[in-house]
Amino acid sequence: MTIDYSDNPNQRTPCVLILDTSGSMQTATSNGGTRIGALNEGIKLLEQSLKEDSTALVRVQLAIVTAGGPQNEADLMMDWTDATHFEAFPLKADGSTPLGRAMRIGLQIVEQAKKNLNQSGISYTRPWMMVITDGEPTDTNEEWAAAVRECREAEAGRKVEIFTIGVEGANMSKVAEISSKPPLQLEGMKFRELFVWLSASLSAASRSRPGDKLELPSTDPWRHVGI
Amino acid sequence: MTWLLGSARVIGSSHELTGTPCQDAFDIERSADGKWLAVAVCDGAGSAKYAEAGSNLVAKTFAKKLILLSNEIENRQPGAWINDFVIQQVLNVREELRAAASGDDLRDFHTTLVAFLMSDNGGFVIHIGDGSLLGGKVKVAKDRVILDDEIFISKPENGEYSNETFFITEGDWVKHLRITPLPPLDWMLIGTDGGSSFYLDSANSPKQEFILSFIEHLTKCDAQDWNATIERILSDEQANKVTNDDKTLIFFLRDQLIFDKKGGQFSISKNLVRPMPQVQQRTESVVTNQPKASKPKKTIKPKKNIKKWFLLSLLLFVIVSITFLAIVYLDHSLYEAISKLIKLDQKVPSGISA
Repeated sequence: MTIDYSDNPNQRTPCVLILDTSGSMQTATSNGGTRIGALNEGIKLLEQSLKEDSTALVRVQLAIVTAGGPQNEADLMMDWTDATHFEAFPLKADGSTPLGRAMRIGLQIVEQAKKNLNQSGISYTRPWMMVITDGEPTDTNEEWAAAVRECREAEAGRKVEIFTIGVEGANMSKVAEISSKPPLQLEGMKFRELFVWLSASLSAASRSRPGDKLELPSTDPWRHVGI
Repeated sequence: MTWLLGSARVIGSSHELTGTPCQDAFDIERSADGKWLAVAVCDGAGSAKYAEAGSNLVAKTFAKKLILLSNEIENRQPGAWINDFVIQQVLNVREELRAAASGDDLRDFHTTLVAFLMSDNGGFVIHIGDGSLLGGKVKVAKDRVILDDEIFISKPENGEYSNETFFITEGDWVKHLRITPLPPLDWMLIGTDGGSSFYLDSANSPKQEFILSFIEHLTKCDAQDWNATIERILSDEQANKVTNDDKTLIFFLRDQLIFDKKGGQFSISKNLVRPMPQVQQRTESVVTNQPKASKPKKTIKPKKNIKKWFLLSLLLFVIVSITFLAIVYLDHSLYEAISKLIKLDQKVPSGISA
């Protein structure tokens, strides 16, 4: 993959979304839509929010890996794209949830992004990987264990910042295995709030300077607070 | 050494917004005989609780300790003892920070350090973390000043990620300590991360346009107004687009250049400044690399001046020709001898034909 960075020498904050697009995402929501519909709407809002933010626009890079969908596979749906060129596209839900395989693709392209940026002499902040799922991984036990181990190692080696979000119905104990940070649970179908938060957080990360403490916006607008 | 200097420290717009104080600090010291200059610039980490205290303490202590070294450095061959001295000073200042922290954990005082000690013959730079130091030589032509394309630079060290750096207050500081010999320079810019963003681009190469217009601008002002001028540049509305971080910028210029050109046209030839090569010498191992304070190593050889050679040979040719002609015309006998030779030469073919 080659990206021409000559027109935008800004430092980058890469973020890969690992999205569960399995059959369960077709589940109807209380407002008459479906989970996948709500997710797609959220991604559209992510595009909008990033484009309204002049810093994030030139600094945030996105990639999307899906688990499931019509191909019933873990797929790199969108390779690294600068926010300024990002156009949301609707995802279709179907099949099983090869989440572990999707996460491994995510880790691979994170390293690829760093390599490309290094070669172009562009500096970057630590890449993010955000995993969103509503179910349970359908990888084999070995595959899942290997993926989780890779994620934990990458996290401990400060190679990537991992955020895990469980949508209603997700097996939270499985989700909790992915990262040392506890998973957050999405309140209802608040995908819109979630992606507005993601945009603001990526913007903050892309602005941060050496020695700064990264202050992320509150997750209250979308986080389900358990009893 | 008589150096003109201007310095300013301006709070970053992000710190103004959040009500945090300016966490940059610097100190400038001169030796009693005026031959040596010691400067320390520190950038306290935004995330550290007492970053302001940390950067102040380190900057003041370091500059004062460095200037004490000037006596010794004059009477002693440069060598590993300078490294030892620097390391000892870092250990001392860390001890002082421990006292301030009343404990072993220095993270609340996280600060970077860029410092130097120099005389007319050069010196050395001490660097941990980000911030930077740039400097160069200047050629003074008849009616203008030309910046040399050979730029010395002590670059910022960031981690793999651009929003991370290293601090003198960290446990592994020694891994990130760089001690670099400093060649003799005519001008210098030294800044914290925020200050550096004015004269270094994102790839840490010097921003030529800024440096040229900055020096040109300052040389047109009275040196007494430099502090105010630099402060104005750093506080400008446009400056907040460059960085929202605290910004410290210090500029040095050999005053000779100004005195020589006072009243004359002071300009900088931009055409003569070629893309600047990166001349960083990294001290991978502090112990094995000996700073050569008074005999800095030249890293780049100037390009051969073809035009100069051409003019020289032309001049030589003209001198030889004039001398030859002068001899020929002044010395009549020689003239005759040559005439005979020519005639003789002419007679030969006719003789043969006869």
